[in-house]
Amino acid sequence: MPEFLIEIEGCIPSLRRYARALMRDRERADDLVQDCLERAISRRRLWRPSGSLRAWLFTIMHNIYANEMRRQSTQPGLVSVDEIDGTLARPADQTDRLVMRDVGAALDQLSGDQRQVLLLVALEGLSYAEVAAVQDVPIGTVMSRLSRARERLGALLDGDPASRIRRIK
Amino acid sequence: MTGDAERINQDDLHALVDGQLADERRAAVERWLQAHPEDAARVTGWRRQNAAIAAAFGAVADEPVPERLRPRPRGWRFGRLTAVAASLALFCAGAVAGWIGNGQMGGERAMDQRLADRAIAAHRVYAVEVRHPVEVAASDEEHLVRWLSKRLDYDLRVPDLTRAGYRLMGGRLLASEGGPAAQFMYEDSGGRRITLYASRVAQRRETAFRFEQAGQIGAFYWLDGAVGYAIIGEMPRPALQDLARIVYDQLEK
Repeated sequence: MPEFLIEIEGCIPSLRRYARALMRDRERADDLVQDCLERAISRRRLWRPSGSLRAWLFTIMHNIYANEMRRQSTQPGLVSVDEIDGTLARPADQTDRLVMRDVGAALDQLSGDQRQVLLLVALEGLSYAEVAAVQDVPIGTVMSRLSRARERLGALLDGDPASRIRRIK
Repeated sequence: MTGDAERINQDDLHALVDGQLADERRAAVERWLQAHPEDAARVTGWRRQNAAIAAAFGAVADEPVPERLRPRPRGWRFGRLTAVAASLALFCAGAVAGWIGNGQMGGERAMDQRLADRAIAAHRVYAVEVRHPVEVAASDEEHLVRWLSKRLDYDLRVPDLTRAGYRLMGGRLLASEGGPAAQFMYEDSGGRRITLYASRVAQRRETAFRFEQAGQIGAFYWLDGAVGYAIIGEMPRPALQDLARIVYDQLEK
């Protein structure tokens, strides 16, 4: 059993990173991670060591997140720009701040499913098949969500001539 | 995705950007991009998006993990909300009793870190001993365990690490913060020594495995109820973690 816990502990930085990008609020993101860890540990007997533990944890997190979103669907505008600045992970220079705000604001424009696909792929490096398992959809759905997410993000970030996103090249 | 190397579709372009193509296919897609500048521009844009996302959120993974997110050897005892309620109740109780700060809100961390410090210090002192590394040798293991168990007032067990290549040399009694502590020493065929430290702790706690590095010496430590343990050695963290795992498994049986 401690082996399982040690492996889980190794996944926590990645879970936090993904949750932060998804929620963009430090406390709420860590709440999501904690709920995910608690559920994973209480269901550890359902875990099959043949697969990727990290992908399994993302699946659990996805289900919790989806439930929460359904519950909160009547309360839009959860995070203000001021709060986003306040949740920056580390002393960031001005460029980082702008990038985070730009990317975060652009990600907000995507549907929840699209945002998740893009973050799992681009930030967490999950394979398309793993993302399909996390969202419990066919791989074709993952590809079309990814495609739409990138198209939309491209229009938001590159379409705006004043966009700061170009700075990070 | 199609097996036809000449027919490149949009999924191939995504897979190229995300590093999810086999070498052969990737070469075909890259050839395609040289002949199709529009697709090449699209790929460049997507790569920039990936880089922007990584730049915005990548550093979160390097932050120290907050205490509340560390798994405990036996799982969390409370859900998040009950834990908050419990620490609030504890806080109020503490305020009434004039006792604050030793509960769930900070005393724990210091307690197990102090234990790790003592374990590392004891390792430094005794692991280098040539003639008297232990007080009671492993040849008298039964007596050793009985004696130390009696002094710690706790039913100690000595893990068998022969499978990992370490043989028990023996152990000794040490003075510690909360009273007596025990140190067991092991040695591998190359004369490399590790020590297992066990000490009573002031308050019953269970914590996750934690790691501390002091120069060449590494320590994995955890609290398991009335007793805290630390396994100390000069080796890379993963190797020491394997040992910690074996020790924990045997102590739990």
